[in-house]
Amino acid sequence: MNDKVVVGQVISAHGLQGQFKIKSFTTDPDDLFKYNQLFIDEMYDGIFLKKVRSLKEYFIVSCSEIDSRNKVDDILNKNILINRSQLPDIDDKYYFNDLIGLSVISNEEIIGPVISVNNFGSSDLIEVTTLSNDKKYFIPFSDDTIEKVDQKKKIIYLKNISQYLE
Amino acid sequence: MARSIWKGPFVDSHLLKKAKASAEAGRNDVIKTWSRRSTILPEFVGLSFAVHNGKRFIPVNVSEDMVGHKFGEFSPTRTFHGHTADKKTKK
Repeated sequence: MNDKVVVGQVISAHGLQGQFKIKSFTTDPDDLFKYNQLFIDEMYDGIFLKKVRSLKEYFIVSCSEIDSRNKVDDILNKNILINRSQLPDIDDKYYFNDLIGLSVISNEEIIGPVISVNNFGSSDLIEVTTLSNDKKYFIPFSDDTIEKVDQKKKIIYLKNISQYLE
Repeated sequence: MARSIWKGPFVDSHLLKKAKASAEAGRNDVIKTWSRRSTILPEFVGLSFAVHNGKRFIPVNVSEDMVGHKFGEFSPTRTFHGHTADKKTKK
């Protein structure tokens, strides 16, 4: 499980007073402002972003620690992160971020690690790299294919997946 | 220009044949297809397809909302590396 989760990115400076434009990666873009302990890469810890206004999928924000254009120039294109512990606990669901890196096992045989989780419009898919031949496969994350997710052991047990590995 | 209604939705005959055979057999086999241009018909709901994107097969489980769309819409041909942020999934 990763300690930090990327929730946004600094896009550009806005004006001379230290305001800047950001892009939110959260499911509901406004959710980014629910978190009050944000990080901007290694440069700023525990900051709070104040929304000035929204611009389509972007936001103009200000922050007490960043009060000049020069300071904004230093953080351009940097990621905005939160601690994983700040995400609310959820039952019966899994954060995409928590599944990445888990080992996949089918029929007591290790297939390989999960490298990404995607949704292309039909269902959620985990992308697995096989250890044997380094090929990448997509497997649906559904009751038909997932037997158990053991987050403590960092293992996903799969079933009936032979058709997806051809 | 939109397709004429009298023609009905386009589906490759070989895909339709495979889907009908799978539905009649009652098995939930994954139907591999290269036919990205085929329209998703109501008969396909509940079936599993693997749609080729030029490089590999992307699993597509057909649901009611997908009827009328083309298979290719659910199998992107370009790589997109987005951020997962707070996205959640349920099995």
